[in-house]
Order: sequence, then C-alpha cells, then structure tokens
Amino acid sequence: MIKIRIPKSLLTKTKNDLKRSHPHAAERVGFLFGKLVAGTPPIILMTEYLPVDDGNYIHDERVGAKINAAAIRAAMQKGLSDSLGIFHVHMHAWGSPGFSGIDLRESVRLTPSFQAASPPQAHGAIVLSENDMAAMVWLPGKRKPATAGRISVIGWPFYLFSWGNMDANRYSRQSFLGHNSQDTIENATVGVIGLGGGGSHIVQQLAHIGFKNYVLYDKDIVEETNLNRLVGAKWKDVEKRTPKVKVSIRVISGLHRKKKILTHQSIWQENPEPLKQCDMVFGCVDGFSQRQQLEAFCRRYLISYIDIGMDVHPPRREGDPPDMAGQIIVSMPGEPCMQCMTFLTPENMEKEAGKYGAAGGNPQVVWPNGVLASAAVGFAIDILTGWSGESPHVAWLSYRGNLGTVTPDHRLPYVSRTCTHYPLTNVGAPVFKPL
Amino acid sequence: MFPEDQVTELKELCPELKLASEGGVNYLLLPALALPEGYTPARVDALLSPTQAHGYPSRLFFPQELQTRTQRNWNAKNIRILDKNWFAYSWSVKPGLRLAQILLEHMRALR
Repeated sequence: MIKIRIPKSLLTKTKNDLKRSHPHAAERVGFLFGKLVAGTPPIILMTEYLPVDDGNYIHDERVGAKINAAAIRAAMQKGLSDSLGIFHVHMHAWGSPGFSGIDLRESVRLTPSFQAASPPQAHGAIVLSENDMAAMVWLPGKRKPATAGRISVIGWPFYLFSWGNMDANRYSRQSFLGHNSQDTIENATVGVIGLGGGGSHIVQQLAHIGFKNYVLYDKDIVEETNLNRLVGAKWKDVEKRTPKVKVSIRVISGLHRKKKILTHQSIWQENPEPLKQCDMVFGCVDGFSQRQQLEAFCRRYLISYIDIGMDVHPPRREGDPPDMAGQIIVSMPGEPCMQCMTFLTPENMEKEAGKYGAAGGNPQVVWPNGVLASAAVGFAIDILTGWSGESPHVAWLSYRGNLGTVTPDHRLPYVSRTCTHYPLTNVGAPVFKPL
Repeated sequence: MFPEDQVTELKELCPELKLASEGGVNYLLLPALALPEGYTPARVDALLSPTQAHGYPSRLFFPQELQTRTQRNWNAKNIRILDKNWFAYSWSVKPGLRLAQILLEHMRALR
C-alpha cells in the first residue's frame, strides 16, 4: 500500500486551475509535485502544483486535452531541479474517478521520462473528481505502477479515501457523524505523545470512539503522584512500576479485540519513524520547546497536530487564588502554525530556557485535563468526519479553570491567514543548500 | 538571508557550509567542524542557529554530547531539528556578532 498526503489548500488550488475553461481544449491538465518518504508503507507528500500554460495545449478533438513537449519539459525541469516526484493530474466530474485507456497509455509513456528527471522520487498520475481521487504510482526504479491504497487530504475536514469494514451496530449512537465516518475513524492512525494526565484521557476517548490504530509514546512509569489524574492507572501499577504505555494498551484492549498499537517507552525523538505514519498527532507534552519540535515534525510530514496543555499559575497578588489556564490548538499543515498564532514566541521560549531545571513537579489535576482532552478529541472527530460542517483554518481554544470556561482565544481574530514559518515546499526530508 | 561577506568568512572555518530552514529559523549546517585538539571525535557535523531559536539568542548544536574539558550544562538533549536529534550546552552569546564570531564564541565553551 502507498499513502499519498495532499494539503487541502494545494488540492483546492489544483482543482481551481483544472476547472477553468480553455479556448479549445475540453479539459485542463497539470502537474503535482511530491516528495517520497521511504517506509512501510511509503508516503508521498504533495507540495506544489504547476499549471499548463494555455499556449501549450494542442488542438486535438479526439482527446479532452493534449499538451505539447514544452509543458512536459517544464514539469521535468522542476522535478529535476527541486528533486521532486512528478504526477500528471486531470479532473473528472463527481463520483469515483478512474483512469481511461488513454490515461493509462499516456502515463505509461510519460513516466520513464519523469523517472529519468528525478530518479529517487515516485512519479505517476492522479485523477480527481469533486469528491474523490485515484492515483497510480511508480516507485523508484519500478516499471509497473501500484495503486495508491490511501489518499488523504490534510485539512478541515480531512478526507481519507480508503475502504474498510466497520461495526455498524456498535457505533449506531454516533452515526450522525456521517455515512463513512466510522470507516474513516477505524482506518485513521493516531499518535499520542505523552500518556499522563492529558494523553490518558485522549487515549480512552479515542478507544471508545472506535480508533484502532495507535502510535503511543511515553518514557515514564506510573508513580503514586500520577494516580490523581492518570486515567486507567491502578494502585498495583505503582507497585509494579508499570510503564504508562502499558496502561494505555490495557485501556484500548479492553474495548477492542482487533487493534494495532505501537508503543514506545521513550521520548518520540528517539524513535520518530512510526510517527510519520500517523494521520493525526495529539501533543500532550510539557513546555514550549517540546511543542515546537512536535509541530515542526508534523508539518514536515503533513500530519494534523492537536496540542493540549494546562498550568496552574501562582497567585499574582497575595490573597488571590491560583490561576488555572490551558489551551487546545489545532495546527494544520498549510495553515497558520503556533508561531503565527503567537502561542509560541521567542519570548516564551527564552523564558522557558531560563527556567530549565527549576520546574519541579508542576500542579496537575484530573478535571482540566479531562476538559482539554474532550475538546481536543472533539476537534479531531470534526476534522476526520466533517460532521459539524465547520471548516476553520485555525482552531485555538483557551481554558480558564477558575471560571470553568472554554472559549476561542482572544488573539484568534488577529492570526495571519498565511503561514510563513512552514512553507509546503519544506515538507519531507530537509534540503541543505550549499552556500 | 545572511550577508555574503559573513558567509565567506564563516566558510574559512567550514568550507562545506549548508543552509536549511525550519519553523522560520535559518540554520547553518557545519559539516566536519573541527573541534579543539584532544576532542574525540576530532570533527563533527554541527548545526548553528545564528539567530534566536529554542530560547537562546543563538545556539550551536552537536550530534551528541561531548566530553568537555570544563563541565557544561547540556540542557538541550535530543532536540529534533531538521529531522535529526541535536544536543547543546547552555551558553549565551551576545547578539549582534558576525557569523564566524558567533561560532567561535560558542566554541569557546569547549576550551
């Protein structure tokens, strides 16, 4: 199986170009460019689109669109100079699109040239419709194409084009999420980083909803001080020094016979490969630097990132109560990041670095973690199913524990629409340019 | 990006200098950076952030912790930058220096 990920903003740009009328051609074609991430399965990350100039279409009534050698050379040049995979793309109307005989013949004819231009990358052809897509992929050095087993559109809502079996009766009470929602949920792979107060709530909820594929990280074992908030932990786990990842396995296994759980009793940075396969990652980590690293990783591999966190701050004035605050943030590739939102700033990173080693045990309690985790899972389900019909480009909720409120952050209206920190051209393995 | 004359100057120390960006920060990869005499390995691929990143005005990252002559506070461990894990000691360098000066100031901690 090969996975393809395409940001919603790039797909929209591609469709908008392909839907334009042409002076004589019946349809338009173009080229999408992608980067191959080796792994099992391999992943292709789509990064750019190149339209075909009007003048490069050849008048031929036998086919919908015929382009000249200059258009193909332009695509090959880009593939060569930027070391990108090249995908010929065109569009049908609604429904499940398929490759026609001409599409197949032309793809077979063009692909060896694409492979010669950029040998380490995967190449191929994509056919889009308004609500679906199909792809043929030639992996490096391969003469025959493979069908992309899963194509996901990274955005809100997220589209996961795949097929699976679901237990309709078990999830009948959540059928309002949409016709294919349970299929999407069961086929999605979720990562949870940190399985303490926040992450344990998230895992529990994901398991109830029906997620079956997990990648989980936490280096710690259950300690007595965790029992005030770690969902699923028992007193005997303290005695047995049970790793937190095992508590999560127990929670999920109690709800699912069939599941795939990859656990790592380590920090994610020590074993990041499995995380690349996730469709969505929940960050339940401490500190701004950890959040920044996780977001950067997710942006690099076109993974939706949902961040939660809370703190109990000391009273500002004598006699005041402590201030309990937290956040739930959705950071979607191609959309504003946590720096754009001014949640991550040089000032708070500097402040954190200055306090290194002086943190001690931060105050943590069960109920705010439950609130934050529930809101985060709510966002995740909306992203995956689109049930609410909302499609914000950014989501940032602020939790005020003293008031018991969760509201859109007051800085949200001022967040720039465009992210300059993580351009889509930077996805995949980093490119170091000689100076 | 970075002033040409400063890049040329830095290339005197690291001829294979490379540039990559992540999260709005421009990082300089310093392949086979020569460490002071007595260090093992003698050369490492280091990463320099000449501008503010990860809480410091500038920072020099190494692929592993080094056994420094004077004990240093390696407070950055397994920091994921540009798809690799990096390590750095806490060392503040005043802003406003040229690229080569920034590097040399960070490396002063290795003496």
